[in-house]
This record gives sequence, C-alpha cells and structure tokens, in this order.
Amino acid sequence: MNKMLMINYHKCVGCKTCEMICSLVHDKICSPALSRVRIAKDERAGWNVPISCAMCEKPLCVTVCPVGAMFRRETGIVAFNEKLCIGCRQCVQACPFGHANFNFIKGLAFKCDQCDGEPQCAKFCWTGAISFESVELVLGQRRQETAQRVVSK
Amino acid sequence: MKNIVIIGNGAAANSAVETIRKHDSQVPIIMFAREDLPEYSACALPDCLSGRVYRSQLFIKQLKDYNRMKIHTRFGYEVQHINTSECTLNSGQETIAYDRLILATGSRAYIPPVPGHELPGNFVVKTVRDIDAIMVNQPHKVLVAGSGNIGIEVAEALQFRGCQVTIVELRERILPRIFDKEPASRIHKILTTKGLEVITGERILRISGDERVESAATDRRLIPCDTVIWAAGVKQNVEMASAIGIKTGELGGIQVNSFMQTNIDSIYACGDCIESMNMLTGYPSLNMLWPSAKRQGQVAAFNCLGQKVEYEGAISFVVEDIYGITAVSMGMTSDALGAEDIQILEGENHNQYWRVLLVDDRIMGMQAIGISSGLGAMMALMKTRTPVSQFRHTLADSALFKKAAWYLPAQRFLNA
Amino acid sequence: MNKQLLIDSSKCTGCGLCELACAISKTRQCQPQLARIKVWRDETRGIFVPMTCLQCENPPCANACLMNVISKENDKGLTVRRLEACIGCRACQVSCPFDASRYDYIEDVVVNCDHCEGNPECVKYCPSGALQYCSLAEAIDCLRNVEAKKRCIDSGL
Repeated sequence: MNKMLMINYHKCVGCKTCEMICSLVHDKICSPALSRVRIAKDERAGWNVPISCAMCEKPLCVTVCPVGAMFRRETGIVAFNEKLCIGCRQCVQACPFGHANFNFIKGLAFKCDQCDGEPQCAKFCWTGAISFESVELVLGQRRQETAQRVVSK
Repeated sequence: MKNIVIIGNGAAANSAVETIRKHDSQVPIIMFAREDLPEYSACALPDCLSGRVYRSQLFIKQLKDYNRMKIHTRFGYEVQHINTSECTLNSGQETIAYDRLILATGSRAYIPPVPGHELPGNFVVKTVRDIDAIMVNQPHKVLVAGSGNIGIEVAEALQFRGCQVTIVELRERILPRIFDKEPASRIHKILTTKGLEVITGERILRISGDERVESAATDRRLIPCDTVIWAAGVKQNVEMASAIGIKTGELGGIQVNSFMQTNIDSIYACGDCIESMNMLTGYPSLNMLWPSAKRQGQVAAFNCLGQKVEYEGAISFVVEDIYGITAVSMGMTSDALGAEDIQILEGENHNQYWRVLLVDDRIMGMQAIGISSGLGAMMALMKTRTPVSQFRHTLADSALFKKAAWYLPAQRFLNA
Repeated sequence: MNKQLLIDSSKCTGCGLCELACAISKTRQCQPQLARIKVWRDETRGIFVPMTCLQCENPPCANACLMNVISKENDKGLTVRRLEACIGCRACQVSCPFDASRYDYIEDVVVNCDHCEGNPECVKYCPSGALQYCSLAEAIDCLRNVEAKKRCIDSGL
C-alpha cells in the first residue's frame, strides 16, 4: 500500500465535517455515530484528534474475528465483509485505537475502508488536517517535525 | 416484486421465509409442501422415539404462526409441474405465477432394494408419520440397518424404549462418513457396553417373514427381528427439478452458484436438495445438515430480495448425544481428505478424546468424544483458515492473547 | 442504547467470585460449572480471562439449534432461549466460538447469560472492576479519547 491517511493534529479544529461526510457517503445519513473517522476532542485543553483505521500489518480485529469477516487484503487494506459478521463486537473491543465500531441498528460492525482509494474525509477536510498522501511523504513530514522540535529545544 | 414461492417446509425453507419477513413484511409468500404438517424438527425425531420429547414438542411452528407471518400455505399439496418459460407452477389444484421460486425440497430416506424390504415391519425415520408408524408397530427386536448419524440415534432411542437392538453396518466401522477409525471404535465400545449389538462389515441380503418381518439375513448370519429400521442414507428430491431442466451435479444435488441460483432464471435452491460448495475445499459436496440448510435458506432469501449475498460455503458439523456423551465431528475426515498430507494431533484425558486433522498447518477437521468446550473456537479457527503456528504465536504473546480471549479454550487441542 | 457486559482481562485476578455469584443467583448451587460466566485460567502466566455470552446480533448458536429455541429479543438485544423447548442436544454449545453457553446438567438444557434483568450479579461482586456493565459506545469513546491524548502528547500539542 503506497498511500495512507496523514493526520496533522495541529490543524484539526474539530468541525467534524469529516464525520458528516463519512456517514453520508457510507450510510446515507449525517450521523457522527456512524462515521468511520471520529474526532476525539477536549474542548478545555483545546485539542482535536481525528482517529481512523491504522490499517495495521497484524490487525487485532482480524485476529479476534471468529468468522473471518475482518480480513486483510494483499494491498494492505484491512477490509470488512458485513455479510459474514455475526455481531459479536470482539473487533470493537480489540481495536487498540477505538476505531472499529458497531452499528446497533444494522447489528453489524463497521470500519474505515478508505472509500476504495479516494477517502472522502481527506477530500472534504478544509484545514488539511486529514489528507491522503504517499507513505514517503508522511514519513518525510514527521521527520521534519521531529527535527524542528529537537532544534527548537 | 410480485411474490416469492417456496417449495418445501423444512429447515431451509423456513429459514428463508423468516429472513424474507425480517426484511420485507409485505411481499406475498406462498409455501408448498408435500407433508400436511407445520414445521417440525426432523433432527429431534429420535428423541421423540425414545420418549425424551413429546410428539407435540417436535413442532417448531403452528399453523397460526404462518398466518401471523402472512404466509399462504399449501401444505399437503405437491407441486406437479413448473413452467419455466411462463414462470408458473401447477399443483393439481391450481396454477400459480411466481416471481421468484425457491426450491427447498429436501431429501427422502433411501431403502436399498433388498428382497423383503416391502414387508410390513420395515421403516425409515425421516418424518413424523414414520415415528407414528413405528410406535403403532410396537417394536421388540429391532434391526437398524446402517450406522450413520440417524442409525445410532434411533438404535439408542429404541433401546431406551425397551427394545432389543442390533445395528448392522455395511462398512468395516460405524459412522464411517463422520468419524475416523480411532474415534469410531471408541464409540463402538460405548455402544456395546450399553448393550447394543453392533455388527460391522456385513451386508443385509434379504428380509424374510410370512405376513411381516420375522428375520433378516446378512451374508454371514440370520438375525431374528420384528422390525427393520433403514438408516442407510438419503436420496435428494430433485426429480421435478431435473424434469424441468434444472442442472444437477455428479453428487446428485441441484447445482447452484454462490448466490444460490440454479441455471434457470429466478429459481433458487437451498438445503438438502442442493450440492453446495465445501468451504474448506472449494469443491461441491453434500452437506445435508441442519445448520447448513438454515444458512443456505438465509442466503437464498437475501438474494431473492435483491440483496446480493455470497454464500461462504458449507462446513460439516455433526453433534451427537450418545448415551449422554457428546460426540462431535467438524470439517473433513481423514477419508475425505484422501491423499493430502495430514498431520494428526490426538489426545485424551480421562473420558475425553480428541483428534485434530491438519493440512499445511491449517485445521481441516476435528473429532471429539466427551468434550463440549473449546470446539466452537476450533470451528472458528477452521473457518478463518488461521495457521496453527499463528494461533500459537498469538497465545504466547500475553498482550495479544487477552484480546483474542476465545483462543484459550482451543489451546489444549493444539499444543505442539 | 443497550448495555453490554464488558470484560477487561488485564484487571481479572482469577478469584472466581463472578462464577459463584452467577451460579448461586441462577441455580442456588455453589457450583461454578453452572455459572453462565466462565473464567479461563492460565496459571503459569497469571492471565485470567472471564468469558460470557456476547449477545451476538446474528448468533451462530441460533443457526445450530435444532428446535429454533434461540432468538434475539429486540428490546434489549439479548440472545434468549425458550428453555421449555430445549432438548439438551448441545449443538448450540459446540457451535459457539466463545464457549458462552453453559450446559445445565441438572435441568438438562443449555443456558446463556441474560444480564440478570439489567443488574448483573457478576458485575456486582467483581472486586477488581474487570467486569463492567455499560454502553459499548461510551466505552469506545473513552478508549478513543485515551488514544487521542496519547497522540497529542506524542506530537507535542
């Protein structure tokens, strides 16, 4: 997989446009509870952190799924086949980031699928907090940020 | 969609109608069935024979349940002919147009054409009426022909009723399609300890008697008896389907794709009457079991309603209660795996015995006697094709294994 | 929002009080084998994992049941059994990936956790807080916030 969702925590203002777009695109209604990407926020401290699927190499959600509904594609995407899901919610409890979620109305789990290559959250994020970039670019960015922190100390 | 017509009233048919009603409360549903009875559990018939279950308890639905679900029933009416170009079917009483047709015609008990098999005193155990007939007959000395799932359960049930029972099996071990040699011989021992006479490797040549069954002759001995219960397998009810051009496969069942569709437009099939894809091998196989039928009925219903659901394939899953001891077989047996390079993990502990069949580090089958915990986890590992080395690695990592808590019950079967 | 029985194995000490509380409350027998919750023990590593019925939305046990005893109660989202129709064949027990159903050898039926009518006994007696009865959505929100805080600190927010 050569592209990933790059999150810049400093740029997120907590507008939750991404949550609305995500739920609209996937479930046809504007409902943050059904969004794959979620913004964790602390209004007092003033931070907003978008959390989405890390597309782990050794995904815990895949390990705990007893029916193979969660599985990892060769492209690296951790995918979900809702027709196999029995609704046991083990994936929800296993995800270390609190990403894998559960749709109580449908009785099925859900997770980010990167919108099949064109993530809508990245497209609509107007601050640039979420963007879809190549892995090299993300690493390069991180390296720059770390270097700047080190230098500015 | 105008309507959905279903031929059948067993596990697959009812699973289909329940799924349809869960998602569409309005579409007209018509059910045809040869038997004029509401849904009952065919698997519980031996328990009714033994008296553990009352006849009335066998019924899963009452006629009023069908009314409540707004299902038009035609129980006792056999579909005579289907016109696939006009999409109508004829039951002798009426002609109905169908929009979607689901065939869930199931199977019937097979009696080999042995001389004397038509004498009064010969029975099968497949329907409620069969049980009624056996009870009326008041069996005393019973010969059970066949030692499959049904044969063993029926033998135990009749012995519990006070009959003297002899099982005759054609092949050299009992439960040949379900258990390997080692577990089968352990079960054989349990049966003989409990007083059943079990004969293997003999063929029934003739049933004799003046006006009713009086004895049975194998190729080696004469067995006096007043009742013969044939548990020699089942034949799929696919004659009508074949007659109208629906393709059947080499195994004798209706061929369906992964959306439960037959080769004819708008006609689906599920349950005992089909050849389904085996989840582990990817090849067609016969999986005439209750959970497979229910899942297939579900999938057929989804596809009828327009929701494309792909069937993940069938996996064998047999649970037997043998004199209070649970005997389970999941996935494939050594025979079924044939020439594959099989690694066997076997173990026992007091009265418990298990055997796991591995091919390429993956679980392909499991058989267990006297065990009921940890088997669901093994089934899950089988279905997800988890390599055993990966399983052990996950368990060894303390942080990981706390998340995959359900791995733990399976650990004792997969120790290196 | 329906509540779930959430289990945090890292807090479990293996004391087994949950099993006793459940068994006594449901069957009046001080017999852990009859409890609807079971603690799996790895004594060598000191890891203890309580497991109980997860009330799956599309339960494999319901598919395996020969008498259609098992169904989902829509109101509370629980997996319920009509025990009077159960013949004790144990097919459901074998089909559960989590070993969540329990064979009641006294009544000869198979049972599962029913959340004790909204006030689970095991949760009441758990001394370490490994068992919690709360909404899953809230628990996940909590987890997400913890993770978010970690990422903030990491990135110097």
